[in-house]
Amino acid sequence: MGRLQGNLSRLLTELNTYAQGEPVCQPRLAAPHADCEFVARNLPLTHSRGAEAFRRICGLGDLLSRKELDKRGIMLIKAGGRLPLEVDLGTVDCVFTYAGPFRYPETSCGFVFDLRIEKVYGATAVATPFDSGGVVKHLRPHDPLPDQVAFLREHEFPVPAYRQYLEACLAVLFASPWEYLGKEGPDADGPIDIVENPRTPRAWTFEVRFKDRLPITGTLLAVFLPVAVAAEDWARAKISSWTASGVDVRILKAPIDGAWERLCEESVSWIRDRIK
Amino acid sequence: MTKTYNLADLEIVGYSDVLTVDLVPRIVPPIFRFRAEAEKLLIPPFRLIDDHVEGGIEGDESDLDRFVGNEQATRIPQPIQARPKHHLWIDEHFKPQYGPEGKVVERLRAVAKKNIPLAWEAIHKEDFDTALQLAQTAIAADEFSLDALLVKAVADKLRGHDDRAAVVAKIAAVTYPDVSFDALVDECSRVHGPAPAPPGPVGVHDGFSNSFDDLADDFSSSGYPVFDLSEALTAGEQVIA
Repeated sequence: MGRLQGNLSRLLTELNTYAQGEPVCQPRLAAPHADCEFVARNLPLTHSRGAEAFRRICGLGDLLSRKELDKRGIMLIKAGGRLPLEVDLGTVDCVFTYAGPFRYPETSCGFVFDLRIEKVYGATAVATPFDSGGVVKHLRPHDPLPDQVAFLREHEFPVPAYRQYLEACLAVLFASPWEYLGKEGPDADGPIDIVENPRTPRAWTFEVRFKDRLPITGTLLAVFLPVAVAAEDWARAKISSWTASGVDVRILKAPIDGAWERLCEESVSWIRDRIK
Repeated sequence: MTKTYNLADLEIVGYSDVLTVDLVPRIVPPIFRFRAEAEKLLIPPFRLIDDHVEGGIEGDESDLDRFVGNEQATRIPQPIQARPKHHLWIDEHFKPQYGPEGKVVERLRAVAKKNIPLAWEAIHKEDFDTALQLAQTAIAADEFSLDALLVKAVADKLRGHDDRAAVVAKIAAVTYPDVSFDALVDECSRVHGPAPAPPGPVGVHDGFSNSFDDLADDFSSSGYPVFDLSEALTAGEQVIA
């Protein structure tokens, strides 16, 4: 059994043991909500970006990892003066998506990917039951870096098999599987030892990381972007071709200090409508 | 319970966005630094309510460095003391500006309004690139500018980009779902489009109608359904609020 599959088996067992001992989880274990399997198997993958990065991604036709961006001289790894967390965590060659609504970073544009990309690109992908970037500052902030990295590795799953664990989490940790889409999250802590600083969806949202690149042609279900970006010349041409190929383009008018909230809310309702 | 912070304790050191030339001028979400703790930052998403900030994520300088490196944030050259009911905005030269909410919104709408007659004039001269750029700046400043969307749609149509014009109609429908946008585009093309080719008299034009109000007058006399701009703008303002 490989490392990723071993993690999956171990964590499924731990979750089951945890649920058996938690009064709030026991009835759910005995009679899981009818929608758990359905939600777990149908959640699309999302990726949010700011306007400039969104424009570049559309121009390149690919989401690229930091390593690939650096290699091509597009965005140097040392550009911010400090190395990105991905270098510390060994995820610098990854493209990040979430199973569920947009969660991080808090920006204004977003892509929704057909979950079938997990079958096409899953062989070199990994999933975790939390946001890997959150480990350093929010989920395991008191650990030294080597321990944080080890923690991450111990919670990596194969793709798409991770959806078994997602389904199990939805069944026992959430009052309803649909709560996974919201901001409040599970009402049971679960067996994974994390600190939430503050309580954030990054702690319970599953991350799916693809190696090096993820194309945006033929893989998208929907695109979300604000009015000002949609109106740009390049974007109008792009939106036209997306629409012609069946991609659902959602143009958002955003409150001045609430573009991110609007993006999140829209993605939640879109996902609900899509998979119900 | 959501944590709150007093604006008097904060100064602005950046904003949570990376803008391109097509997206300025624009109001942006500030990133705060605690005045008493120089390493400590408060990062969006949060709500600005009167004299305090509700929510947000506490971080430090390393977070801001990484956000900048990851194209999520931009630093500003000099810190700005945070004030209640003020907006941070980035002007056409990418300079950060800070002012009372009402005045900032007014200023940005004025930028948008100023560009519209210039854009129509550019269309009349068949300088579509200039018209589109002026309209884009107007939309960046005021995403509720119907006139700017009309400029874009007319320029697209006149250049034969009907597919792009259809996208503009889709954008307009987000804010003005009840407006007969295509009819407005046709009328604007007639009024503002390039001068007709000879043999007609050179330079003759039936009068520039540079504002949407003028167009509405044209519509009322031409039998087109009249769109109530004030009602639509009120709807837009509610969204802004």
